[in-house]
Amino acid sequence: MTYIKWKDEVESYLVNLSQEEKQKIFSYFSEMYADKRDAGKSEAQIIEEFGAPYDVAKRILADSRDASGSAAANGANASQPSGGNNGGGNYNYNYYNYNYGSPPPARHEEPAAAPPCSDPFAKGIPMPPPARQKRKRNAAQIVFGIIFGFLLTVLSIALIGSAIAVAVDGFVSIGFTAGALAAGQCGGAEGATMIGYGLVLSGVGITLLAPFSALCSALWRGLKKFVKGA
Amino acid sequence: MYSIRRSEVLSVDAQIKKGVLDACVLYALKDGESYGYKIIIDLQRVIEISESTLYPILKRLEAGGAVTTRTKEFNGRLRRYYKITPTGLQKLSESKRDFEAINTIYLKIFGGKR
Repeated sequence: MTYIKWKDEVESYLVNLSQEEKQKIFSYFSEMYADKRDAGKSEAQIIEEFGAPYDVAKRILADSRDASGSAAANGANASQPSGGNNGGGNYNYNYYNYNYGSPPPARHEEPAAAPPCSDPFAKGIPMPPPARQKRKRNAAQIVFGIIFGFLLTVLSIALIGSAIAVAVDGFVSIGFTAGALAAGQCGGAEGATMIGYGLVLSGVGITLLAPFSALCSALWRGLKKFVKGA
Repeated sequence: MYSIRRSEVLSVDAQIKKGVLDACVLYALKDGESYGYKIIIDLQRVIEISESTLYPILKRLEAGGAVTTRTKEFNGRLRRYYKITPTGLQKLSESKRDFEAINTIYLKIFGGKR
């Protein structure tokens, strides 16, 4: 994931925040990103350190709600703390003002939807799509997954392979018998028997292929479910 | 200076955790102004703190008048610097007293054993 994608995803969860607040948040993260790049970290590493977008948004909203509450309780002026000599509480510098593949400013334009409500935290944040929720797998699941995956691979090859082998054997038998009959190397009765034998073999092979494939497929699905912890 | 494991911090009450984190950030600023990334680097020796955790803390401290901010150009971009105020120093001192009191109670109850 790139930083821009990460930022966009975090932003998608901050629908109830004002544009100004979002700008402050991403100014902060952009500065952090630039400092980490200066420290020699890769984009992927930084994104990993920042954390999953949903978790980041959740933490910011939860803590911001508390911060708003305590600020109100203390009667403090959040926007104008004393002593700030360059902008006070306002993050007025450009979020994209760093030199690492900066996106065009147009990307920072806020979508017209979701205007901030009076209580920006009242509605919480939207749930992430299920695909983005990472399931934690324990070591035992992974080890069992690898072992059973290997065994299943061997079993699948054996089952499907044997069905194909039987079918191919039948076809070969039919082919050879037909050739021998054409060359006059065997009698009609013997040839008919061999062709019959070939037909039975190929029929059995083809018939077995479907249930064997279904069985392997079901086993793989079961293993996948187990590994995913579903 | 000893290191606090993340699990230890997360297990304590949220308010105590906030108090500890606030005090840690103020501690990181007590010797002079600093910026977000440096605060995290400085605090890593003491406590594990993520960027998304630090942001609301700085916001809260700024709103409470414990820190002030200013932007300064660095390397062709602007960087935000945080400076502790007398209010912040007082808050840090109060936090220290609170933690000492908590520690005294803890020692009385558990005798220093976990």
